[in-house]
Amino acid sequence: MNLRKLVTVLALVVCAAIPAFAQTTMKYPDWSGQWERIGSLNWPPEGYEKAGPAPLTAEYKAIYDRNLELRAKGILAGDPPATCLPPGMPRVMKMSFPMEIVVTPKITYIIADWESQVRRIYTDDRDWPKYILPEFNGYSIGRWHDENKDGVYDMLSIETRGIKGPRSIDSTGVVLHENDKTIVHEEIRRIDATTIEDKITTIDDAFTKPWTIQQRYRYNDKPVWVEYVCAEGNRHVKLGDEWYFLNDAEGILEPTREGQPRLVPENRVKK
Amino acid sequence: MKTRLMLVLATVSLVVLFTLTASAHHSTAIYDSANPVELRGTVVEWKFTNPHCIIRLEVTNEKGEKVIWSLEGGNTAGLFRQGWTPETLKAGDKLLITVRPLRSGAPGGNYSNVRWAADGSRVNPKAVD
Repeated sequence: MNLRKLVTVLALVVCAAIPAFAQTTMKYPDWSGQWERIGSLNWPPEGYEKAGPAPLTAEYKAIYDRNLELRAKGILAGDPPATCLPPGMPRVMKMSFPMEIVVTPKITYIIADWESQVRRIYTDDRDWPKYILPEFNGYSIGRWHDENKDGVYDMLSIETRGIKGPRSIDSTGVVLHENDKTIVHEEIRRIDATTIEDKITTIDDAFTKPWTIQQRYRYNDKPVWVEYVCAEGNRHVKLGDEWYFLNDAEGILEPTREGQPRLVPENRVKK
Repeated sequence: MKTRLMLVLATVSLVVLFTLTASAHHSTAIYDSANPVELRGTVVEWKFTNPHCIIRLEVTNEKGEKVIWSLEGGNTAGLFRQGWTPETLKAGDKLLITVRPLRSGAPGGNYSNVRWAADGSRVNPKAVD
């Protein structure tokens, strides 16, 4: 091997080693603690990029309008979490209740108090699996970025696929497509000492174009963590297309809309 | 003028109260928010649970019949931060409660503004401490 070849080989070895060295010396951010939603329970009409309301296709606009008609009659149409189903992605990031973020080199965990849901965001350079088992929070792969080049990661980009339904974007009655082909892209940043922001772009066949919105979360320096078991006190029961209000003490289902009969079991054993 | 101002303040307070106690995990479409009712009754059961803390309240209706209302309110995290616990209410307590009733007319709804029936003061556990 002549000198030129030797130098070339050495240069290649050094170049190959730099990213690995950089990766091991990069620091991960401290996003620990309790983060509470800023803003209302529903997405604002204007998003991060002034995206406006969800850009529904004609078919899903008609479904939304129908849901509003049903709601006026007392039917909880288009709001799956009412029965204690998980909100799923992207609605879970609305964080009706606070969240905790746990950053580790290979996985970042987003723990939502709402329905005690856990998102696992894999940051171990894995590829997508051949088959993704659909789940309400989907399968998330993330990449860390050092936007200000200070040696500390400051932005986590995430792509989430394999999301199970039924899902709505929030509690307003806008539902996502029943084909469950949603893909969600996120960019999570800590924008100041007490604020984290998630820029969320949802690609879904219920929309005419990708929909980008933002959600910010405020740091709570006096966190109170409270167990959330939705089945314990839930009143809302869906049977077919009908909704009922559980009266468990009496053993009946109360109607929620006018003209709907009370549901009393025929063969109930009386004590 | 003063009466009108008071009316406006009362309306705003009611809206804020309902907003604060809104069901965080779902829409409140099944409740008739435009026509809240005041219920005076006796606690049969107080369940400090999620997604809603439940009050079962025995109310005597205009026909003199005793009806048990099943009422849902805030969640444990929200109420706990305000000082509420499983011990805040007990069977036999006399309450006055603002309720958004079910649109169907069934004895159920979403409660807020829980007061002691004896003097109308707000149930405010933190104030006790």
